[in-house]
Amino acid sequence: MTSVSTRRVKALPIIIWGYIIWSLVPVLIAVIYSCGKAFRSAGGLATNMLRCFTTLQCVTQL
Amino acid sequence: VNKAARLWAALAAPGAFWLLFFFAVPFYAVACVAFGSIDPIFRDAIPQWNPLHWSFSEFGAVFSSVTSGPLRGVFARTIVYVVSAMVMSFAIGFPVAYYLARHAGKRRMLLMLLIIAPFWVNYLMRMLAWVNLLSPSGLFSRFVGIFGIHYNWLDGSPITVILGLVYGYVPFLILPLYATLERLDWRLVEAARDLGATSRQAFRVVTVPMAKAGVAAAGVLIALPMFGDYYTNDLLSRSPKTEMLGNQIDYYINNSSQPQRGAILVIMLSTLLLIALSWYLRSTSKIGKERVR
Repeated sequence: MTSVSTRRVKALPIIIWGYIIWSLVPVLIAVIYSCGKAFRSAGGLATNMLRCFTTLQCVTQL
Repeated sequence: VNKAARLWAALAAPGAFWLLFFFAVPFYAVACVAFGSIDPIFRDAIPQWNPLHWSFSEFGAVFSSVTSGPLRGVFARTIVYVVSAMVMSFAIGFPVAYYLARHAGKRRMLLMLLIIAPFWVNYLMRMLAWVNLLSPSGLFSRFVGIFGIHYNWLDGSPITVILGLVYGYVPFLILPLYATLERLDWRLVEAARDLGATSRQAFRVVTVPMAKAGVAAAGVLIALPMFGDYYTNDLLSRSPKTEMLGNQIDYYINNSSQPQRGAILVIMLSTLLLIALSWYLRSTSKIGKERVR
């Protein structure tokens, strides 16, 4: 009985961390990937970061 | 006692009025469009504001289309997608909420923060992120391509739409479930275990019945917007093969010469949801009465 409940408690963190990765990582990858594309397409990191977020290039490049 | 009751009623009045007004007025406008007429030249909806002059002929045509015509498939598909997405949402959301409420300990705040974090990103943005990842040249498609899986996720795949719905709505399920599970009297579960119940029996006989109201609330909370959802399908599929009722309403209202049909579908969907909502209200009041006893 103890081994079953221990197994279940061990499975729950896997589910929760799996869910968190599933919910957050795609968004982070997409934002970084898209903004990275915007940065590469023109020089000047600070200017382009600003441009990326102000003109919503992150969204349009998706 | 009367004074206190009157005070509470007075405090609830502005909110109740706000909800009633902003529900009743738009709903009446939709009904006036649904039972009104169509401009024969410009094909615009002409609302009939006088209920005595409402015409139900178009309603009958749409109803027969839903029961035995082309809209039957869309209705059935919507129900299948929503039910599948809800089952998957519960399969993911319940263990997450359970762990948060029962076993998270010191990490509870961090985990809560991470679960709420997707809310900081707009729903549309999150779906667009998936469009990016799932496109044939996207990172996800390229990654699974390494293992020989070459699948066009965005080419009208029902799995993509259902997973999109789950992805979009599961946080709305976790939070009310967590709120319910956190308030449960876990000593009852311990008592059941002490009396010889296995963890599975204790979960089935004690935890689930106590969490029933929260489960129903969370289910209703995600089912209602899922039924009317159209942008998830629009972004992740855009195929007639996966069209849901929301897409039909969007099509009739924005892109066709039959906006009246869109309004009729809104009324039909609202009626369907009203039945689900009345079931929820009945079951929660029943649970409340049982608790009082």
